Amino acid sequence: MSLYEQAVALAPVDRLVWASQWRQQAISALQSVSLPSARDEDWKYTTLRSLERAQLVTAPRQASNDAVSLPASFAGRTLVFVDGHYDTSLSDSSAIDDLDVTALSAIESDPQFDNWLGKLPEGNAESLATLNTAMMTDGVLVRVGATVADPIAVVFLSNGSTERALPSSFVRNIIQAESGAGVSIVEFHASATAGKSLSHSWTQLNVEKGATVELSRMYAHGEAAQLVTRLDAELAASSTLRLHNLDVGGKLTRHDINVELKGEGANLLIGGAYVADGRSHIDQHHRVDHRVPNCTSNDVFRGVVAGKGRAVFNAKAIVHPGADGTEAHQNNANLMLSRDSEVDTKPELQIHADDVKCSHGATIGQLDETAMFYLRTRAIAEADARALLTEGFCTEALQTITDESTRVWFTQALATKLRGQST
Amino acid sequence: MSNALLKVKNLHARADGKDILKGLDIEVQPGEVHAIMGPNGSGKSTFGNVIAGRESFEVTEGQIEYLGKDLLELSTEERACEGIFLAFQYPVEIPGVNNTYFLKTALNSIRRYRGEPELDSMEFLKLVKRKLSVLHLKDDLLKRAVNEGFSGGEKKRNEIFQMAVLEPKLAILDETDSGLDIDSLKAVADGVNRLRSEDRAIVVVTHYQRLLEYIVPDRVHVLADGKIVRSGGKELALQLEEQGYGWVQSA
Amino acid sequence: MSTTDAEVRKLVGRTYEHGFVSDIESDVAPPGLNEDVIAFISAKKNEPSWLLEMRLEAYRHWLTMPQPDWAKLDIAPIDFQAISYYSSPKSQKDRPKSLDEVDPKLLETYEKLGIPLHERAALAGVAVDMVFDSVSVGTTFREELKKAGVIFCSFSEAVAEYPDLVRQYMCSVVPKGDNFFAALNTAVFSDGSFVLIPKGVRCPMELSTYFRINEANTGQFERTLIVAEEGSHVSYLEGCTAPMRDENQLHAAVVELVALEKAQIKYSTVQNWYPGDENGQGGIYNFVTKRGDCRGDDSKISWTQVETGSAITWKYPSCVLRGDRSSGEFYSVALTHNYQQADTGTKMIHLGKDTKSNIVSKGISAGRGQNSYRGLVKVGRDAENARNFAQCDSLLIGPDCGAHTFPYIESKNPTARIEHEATTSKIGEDQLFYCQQRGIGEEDAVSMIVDGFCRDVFRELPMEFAVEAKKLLEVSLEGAVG
Repeated sequence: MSLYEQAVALAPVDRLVWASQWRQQAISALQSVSLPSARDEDWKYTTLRSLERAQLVTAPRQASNDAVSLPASFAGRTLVFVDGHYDTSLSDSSAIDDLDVTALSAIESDPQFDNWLGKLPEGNAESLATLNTAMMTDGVLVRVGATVADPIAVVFLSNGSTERALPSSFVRNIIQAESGAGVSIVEFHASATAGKSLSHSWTQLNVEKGATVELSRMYAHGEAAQLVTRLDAELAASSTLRLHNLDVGGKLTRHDINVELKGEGANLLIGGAYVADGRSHIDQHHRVDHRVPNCTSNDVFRGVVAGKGRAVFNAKAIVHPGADGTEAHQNNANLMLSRDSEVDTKPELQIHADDVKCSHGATIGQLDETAMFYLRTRAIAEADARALLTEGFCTEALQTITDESTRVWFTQALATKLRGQST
Repeated sequence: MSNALLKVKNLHARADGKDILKGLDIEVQPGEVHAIMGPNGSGKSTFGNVIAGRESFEVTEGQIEYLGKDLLELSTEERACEGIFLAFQYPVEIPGVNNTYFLKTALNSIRRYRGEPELDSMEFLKLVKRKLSVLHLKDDLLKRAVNEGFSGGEKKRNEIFQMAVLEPKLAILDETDSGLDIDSLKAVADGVNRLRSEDRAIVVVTHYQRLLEYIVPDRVHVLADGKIVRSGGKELALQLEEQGYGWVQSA
Repeated sequence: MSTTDAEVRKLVGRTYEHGFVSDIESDVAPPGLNEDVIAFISAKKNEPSWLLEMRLEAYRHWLTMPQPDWAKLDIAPIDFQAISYYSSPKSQKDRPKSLDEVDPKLLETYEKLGIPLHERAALAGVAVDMVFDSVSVGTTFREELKKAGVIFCSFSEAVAEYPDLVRQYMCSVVPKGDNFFAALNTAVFSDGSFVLIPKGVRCPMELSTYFRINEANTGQFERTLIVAEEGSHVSYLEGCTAPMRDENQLHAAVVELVALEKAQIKYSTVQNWYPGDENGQGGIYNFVTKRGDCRGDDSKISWTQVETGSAITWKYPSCVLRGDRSSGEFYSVALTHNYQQADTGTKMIHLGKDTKSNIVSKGISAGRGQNSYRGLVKVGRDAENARNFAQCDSLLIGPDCGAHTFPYIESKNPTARIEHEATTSKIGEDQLFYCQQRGIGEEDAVSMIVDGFCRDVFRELPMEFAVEAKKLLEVSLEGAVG
């Protein structure tokens, strides 16, 4: 079935009435696009071929409390979505000052929605985003007007299936930090039950003047789950976005992160770690547009590949004409632990201004022999030394999470994954 | 002499296809401080690396007996658990690995090996703070990653601090004086001297006599072309300083 | 910056030194490309039938291929039917037996280029093969090389005299349908150089070829094939120039290098094709496929290039590291000024065990120049202990230029170690100020800084080429900075 036929069959016409005009537009746009292929430069290393034959179905929308496995130490309030639908019984919907957190399904209408939903990217490379607009069932709207101390967690659970048809869910999240506001948000994506599933999530983020947003996302799906995400962020003057990604699960993961630095003095940090083991394939595609002077961006990712795992990394920084005073840096380092694994990395700079400081680096290699020796002379057994160094190598990219309970949660999840992973 | 801590006989070792040690002999008793001096390329650093068990150095001939055991049978970490400590010439930076966590893991491995109970975080912190104050180090050292962003002096002091925590029986200080200004040198020597004891031997490997003014050795050995060519008391070091290595090599 | 944009633009003006047109009668094929034209070229050169067949196969394949558009280049549509695919200086009909018989005007041309071939070649001990438009006009030092057993001749002569060697190695590194421009070259190539260094021979002198496009509306499609047999060594230099013309001219060359066991090939290029004027009018389209095959164990291929000319450069000298312990090197300086565009870099394909590659790329962008580094480092599943290091730096001079970096890194072997680093920055104000404060004029300071920036690459060039390259850079950058 083509994407268009899937959308016609499954689009949730009954929900989000206010979205119907965009939904219709997206469905008709799907008539002229297909899934991205290796001919699209951004999809050179990742194929969605299996989706071509898949028959998408809706998922059961049920999960137990146990599936929401947040650590006790995590301080924040939690909203839970199961198979793309808000679950009130699993969520904590108590009110917080200066903070408006709502499921989209609970909103009658909003004058701002046109801005968000009207954004429809074109072309095959973006066809899943179009599919999202056609299929999305729910998501979260976060609007914050001042500095909020405690973090918020939004949990997305997917049920898996061993049947032929592929349970799918599509969510859309909107985060708006108003002028001067500050907030820390966690997106936690995981499987509620084992088996294959397709989850698509699209987060749109607007960081207004002087605001600071910390968005930390963890993907810990089961080994048969497929996941495609997209994030679009716009940063106004003197604003800050700290975005972290941790990938410790899934069979196929693809992240597209697009950030526009639109106001002078904006700061962007994208940091993250991934562990691609078993048969997992994890693809990071980042694009940062420096459109105005004096912005900074840093993109730092660490990865471990083991088993038959494969990691793909492409980070693009584009400095547009006139964006003087830009600082843009990218760094991707990978540890390759097994014979059947693969890493394909491509940091990328496109620079059209001269007063810039830009750099990137990429490495693929093994643990440093000298460091291993050093640890072993300090009585640490070889396997422990290996684990310690691997953990240290990856954890570095998560140390920039400023909310402590989030950082502890993420680093522990990473450590657990690394200790359980076979080489 | 049968209760020697370390007995090295006719040690030959190679690395990168090159023979470096070519018949080295040395015996170290508990409580002694030895100095091994020698020109660049004489095999000084190889000695420390071989004793500590670095795999890229291959022992081709000879024996190393430590506490009556065949050291060559033991892995690097087993040697560390048996009380061998190598203070590195270039301490390794390990980004992302916290110093405290690193040291606690090390100490508890050694305690486990000896059948002693592991220390919990509180006990460990107490121990570490005590050692820090003895060595006049700031506890902000504990919060940082292992050696990352440390100055040359801080790295060397951190090595001595680790030695203080792990309490080895045999410590080999590999060119610990290299790259240190006089204040750092004194601080490091002071730390080492505090760790001198009846049952701990220390082998100072160095190019210069300077460090030996502060860590006074019982025995001095001159290493040239992979062999000990001369041994003597501390005055040998002064003689070397005055006359240079050419004197022993030609002798 | 102390200088305004207007001043920068004013300073940017410079003229192309090699922009004169030689007045020599040429034997030119009418514009257009079809099987008849290919047959004409082949017949002109009295080629054996297998070669004509190869040309035609390449041509038929080329017809099915789209012109590549993945490079970061803005290329005006090329009318391949408007190009003349063969141009031979007429006086070459009867080939000169020695240099004395070479048309004095031709020799004069080379002198104007700063290559007084006769004397300088002799003095420098450089053997030179000259390719003027499409045919090779004379090779010096052939006798001396012959004594060492080295074959160094034009491609056409090689086809006539060593057909088996040519047949064995031609298209064995760059297959005839490898890419759009390589296929076109294979179909219409007119001449070039052929080198064979026999087993165990260290080539007694540096070999050199100068290329020049003279005729208007002509394309130049030369081929170079260098075979270094077991244990042999050769250093090969290549220089290029072209006269000023309003319209764009096409240059699509193919270079194939084969290094057998323990052989070493060093290939150096100083490319100074006409870059077009300060408004982006005219200039050479330089679409070149260069590839070396380290076929034998312990072999080594090293590419060094200084690219200052051409309106558009599309070029990726590559190494296929097939033999165990083979190594590849790529050292590049690419400068784009005015409206020049360059998309250049390398591919290092690690297939053998313990293979090593090293990449040093220095890009300089000035005026409205666009400069991209595009590289691929690929480590195959069996390439145990492969090592690669790449350093790609870009220097920006002026607000309207661009510098881009696209390194593709693909590894399938867990024992491989790959490191890539890249930096982009503008010419350091503090460095400029420091030089000026010490009394060094701004232009001198810039060329000093640029020269320092390129040092790691210049160091790899043979001495006299290094001097030439440095001068070229200075001339090319004249007035580029404020």
